Amino acid sequence: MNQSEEGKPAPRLKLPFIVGGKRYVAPGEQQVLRTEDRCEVILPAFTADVKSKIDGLDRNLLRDVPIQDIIAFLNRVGRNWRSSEYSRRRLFIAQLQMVLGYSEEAAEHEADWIGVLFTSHARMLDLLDIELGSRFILDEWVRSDEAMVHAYPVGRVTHVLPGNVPSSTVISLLRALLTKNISVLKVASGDPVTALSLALSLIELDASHPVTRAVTVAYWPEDNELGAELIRSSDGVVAWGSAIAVQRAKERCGAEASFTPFGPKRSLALVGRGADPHKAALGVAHDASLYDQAACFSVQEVFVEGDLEPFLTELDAGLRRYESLLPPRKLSTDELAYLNGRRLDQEFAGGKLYATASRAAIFVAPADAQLDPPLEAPLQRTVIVRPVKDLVEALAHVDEGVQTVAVAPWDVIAEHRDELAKRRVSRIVELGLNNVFRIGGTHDGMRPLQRLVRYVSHEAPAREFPKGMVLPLDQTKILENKSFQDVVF
Amino acid sequence: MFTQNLAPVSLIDSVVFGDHDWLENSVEWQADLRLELVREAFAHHLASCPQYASFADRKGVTAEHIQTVDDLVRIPQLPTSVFKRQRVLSVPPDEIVMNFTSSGTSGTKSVIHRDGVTLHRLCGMMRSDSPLFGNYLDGMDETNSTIINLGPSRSDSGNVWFSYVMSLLEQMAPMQSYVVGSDLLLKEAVDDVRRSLVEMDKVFVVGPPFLVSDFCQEVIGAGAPLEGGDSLFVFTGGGWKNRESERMDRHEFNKVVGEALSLADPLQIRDVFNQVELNTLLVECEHHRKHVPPWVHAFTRDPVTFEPLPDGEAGVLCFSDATAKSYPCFLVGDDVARVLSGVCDCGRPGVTMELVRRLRGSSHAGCAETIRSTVQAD
Ligand SMILES: [Zn+2]
Repeated sequence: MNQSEEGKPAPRLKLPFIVGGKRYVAPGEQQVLRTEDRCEVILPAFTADVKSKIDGLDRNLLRDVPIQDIIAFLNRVGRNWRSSEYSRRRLFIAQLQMVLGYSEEAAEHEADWIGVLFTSHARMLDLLDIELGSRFILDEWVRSDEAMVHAYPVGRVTHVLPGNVPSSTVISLLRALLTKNISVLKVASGDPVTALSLALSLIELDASHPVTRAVTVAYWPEDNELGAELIRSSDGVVAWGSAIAVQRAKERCGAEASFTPFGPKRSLALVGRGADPHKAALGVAHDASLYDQAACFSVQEVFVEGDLEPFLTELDAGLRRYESLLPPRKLSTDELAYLNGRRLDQEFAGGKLYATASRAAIFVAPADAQLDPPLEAPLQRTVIVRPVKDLVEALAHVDEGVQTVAVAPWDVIAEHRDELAKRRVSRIVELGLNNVFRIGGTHDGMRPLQRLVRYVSHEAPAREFPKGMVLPLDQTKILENKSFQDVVF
Repeated sequence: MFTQNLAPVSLIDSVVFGDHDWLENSVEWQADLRLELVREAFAHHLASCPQYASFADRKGVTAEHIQTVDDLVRIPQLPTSVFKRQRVLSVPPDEIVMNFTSSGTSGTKSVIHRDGVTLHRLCGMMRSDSPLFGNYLDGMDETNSTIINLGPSRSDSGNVWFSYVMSLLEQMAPMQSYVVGSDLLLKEAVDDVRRSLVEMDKVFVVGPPFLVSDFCQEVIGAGAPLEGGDSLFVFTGGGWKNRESERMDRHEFNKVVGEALSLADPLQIRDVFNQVELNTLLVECEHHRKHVPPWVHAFTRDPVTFEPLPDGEAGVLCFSDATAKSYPCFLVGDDVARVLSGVCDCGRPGVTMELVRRLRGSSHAGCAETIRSTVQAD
């Protein structure tokens, strides 16, 4: 260990909170977050003052703002993000490297995603159509059979955000804005950067825009009582991250508030006999390299049917190729020691180390390897390859903890789709596309926008014949004539 | 209870129980002895623990590969997490007499299964004339010394390894224990130390640093000074647990404790290193270095590559302990340390270790699930 690395003061980064679209800088107290040995982030303390300012925000701020205005504003924000000259983008890229240890390439890719997601106006309308039934339903009463239905925001949504998958923050915020909610983005100690960068980019475009004012960014430690109260008084809670973080958020969520959990999940890949080893391996390399396997859609295990060696050779090459396309995150000494420990554990449990690149590693697990619970996956681009005679053998390793099953070749999926669904996976995709959530697809078994709105129905009057009746609905007359059974078919 | 009918027969037992002082021998002599002891242990675990043997096989290491002291680093080592999830035995299960866990309240704990021989060897180290303790315990005997244990008694220590180890000090002198249930009887402990200082030549207060700190606060709060002089000794071990925020660095700790207890010399305060997966105590000398006995091979690994590091370089602390018979005690530990071979500033030859800090575990802040839930068949 480099002795000069030990005890070297970490660089410091001072960041504000954002409350209702305004910078909030605490006069006195501060919180210091240390992200491994990379950086110290100084934030204002989460005080009663911050909380009361958040409590004072208008929960109906966006209620009467037309969807098109919201989307148009997001689009303008996204266009900024798409420009490599945009200073906020440049700062974000620098901060992802400094705080999260991202490589420049991976940080650039993350910034690209922000631009793409914010400018995807047509897809946003499709999303409203698919998840809420109509893209007009948040703006007006929409005919829904014998009723007119209008969706409204639930009010204030608190997002408990994850630490090292920045795009989750982007998606979480977009969903809430698209449903006209105001948001409190409670950042994770590992990533205070993404949410703040988004909020600041809104402020920079138009500080007085209602969308800007609908965004609050803060941090409080898990055991902070004011933070817990804020969650209790929220109308909706969206919780991402570890099982403990999601469980705590659920316990604090109000009884009538909506709760949307995106708890820990893992993903795996199935490579059938007919797959092109080069294409399949490159797909696995992509899906295991993005976010260094920290995302729920990151492939951790691959079940390979048939000839193993060509696939392993290609996978080794693919992982190396991705190490240059998206270089791995810079890890602290402790994170590296932890990773090495987990990999050693894989070996003890029966995994055979096939190859290592500068970060990535491939283990081959024979059938008798004890890689099942509670062995911890090493992550950081560690791919566990399990040779199988038939992909059916993979089913024994699939449970509700599996989010995405990535498959190659595509046509073998028809055979396994129903069994996988019965075992409660939530997505089946083609290998290499794990991070692309297609329009119409679901997320962890849900259509999340539905959890962020409340529906009001304005139902048909008596003069409109109810379905199954051929005359107006006069309940008194029906009772007097004892004709209920006769008139309702 | 494990000390009867077990005559020292093997080399390891003759070193652990024998009264020859390895510290009187050169660094090289100790190294040769270490090679022999640890290699023998490696051969035993290869022969007796199928999981370990197959792991060593995957790593491509056999007993024949261990020919010189420098080869000891090749012995395949396990991360401590292995003991958190599975039983790894090198003896038949019916020979296990106790299953130990670490202290602390959070997270999954290691469980270490120890048989009579393994525990017996630990007991064999716990004698005041063992070179393990340097000359810290010189002159201590049952008639002139007493031990005030800021922990539970042996019968109350349950499966908590640290408490068990500390309670074994009762082999050396009469011991009173002051943790009953979850209560620490501080006032009683302070009163008994005062009384013992009058009656005895040597009084030892043993416990984790945070309880020793509480003990000092109790003394200060009582208003009446406690005159430790050259009769009171403080023996600490273990970490600060859930009171990490109160952690004092060693220098500050010695100052606070030395002043509170009016110790004649801060060297009356000594620390010991141990963890549930390790079967040996590493005791601090006058120069605050922890001496490593010849049955333990200690070295560090580069955290980035896990390759062994040269003498003196800070890295992940690793052990191979030959006294463990019931489980392969070949460990990659959870601390950052430096290990040095040579003559310590205290004048004793051999291997010493200096702890730098504990490694932080991973926060895994993402949403990837790393521990699979139990797979249920439809
Ligand atoms: Zn020394």
